[in-house]
Amino acid sequence: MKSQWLLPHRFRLPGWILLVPALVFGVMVLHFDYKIPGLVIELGGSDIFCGTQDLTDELAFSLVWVALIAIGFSKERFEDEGTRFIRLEALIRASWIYSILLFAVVWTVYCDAFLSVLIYNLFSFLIIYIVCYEWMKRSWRRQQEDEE
Amino acid sequence: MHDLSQEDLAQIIGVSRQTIHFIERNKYVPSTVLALKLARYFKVKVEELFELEDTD
Repeated sequence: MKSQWLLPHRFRLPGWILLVPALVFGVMVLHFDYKIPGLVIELGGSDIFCGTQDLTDELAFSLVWVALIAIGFSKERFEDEGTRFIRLEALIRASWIYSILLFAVVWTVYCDAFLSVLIYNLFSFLIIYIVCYEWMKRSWRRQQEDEE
Repeated sequence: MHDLSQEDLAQIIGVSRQTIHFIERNKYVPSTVLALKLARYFKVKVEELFELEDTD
């Protein structure tokens, strides 16, 4: 049984390479209000669109998201049911950790700070999943080396 | 049963050596397809390779 939902292995390294500049770009946009000149479009006024829109933050979001997806959901060099088992375990662990963190944030962070946390929260699940997956992968490898 | 390394068996069956290692160590339960492939390679019944434990 092969998963149809994983990217080819060749996407993994570009994902890691893209992640660092994308994160720096995202922090600049979020905390230093950095805007790329010329990325402004006119959307007209409505309930959804608010007139003039600068697309720098959309670009930052997309770059970080694409990098995280490429890292988290690219096949291993040798993808088999063992790695799929690790992926599933990592997804379950990430769901629990994410839920506990979200629950804690909802009850302890208020007002504007809560909105800032929500922006980070957009990425937190994927980041937690990647950390769990990489940690479990290394832990399995260490166990195997210790037992041999 | 056979003079075969984990690496050789992994290549023949089409899984990683790590997966074979953890099946041998009882830390990973293989899928039905993998269990059948192993049984076919060793020319035995699946029940001769794997058995239910009291906790299953």
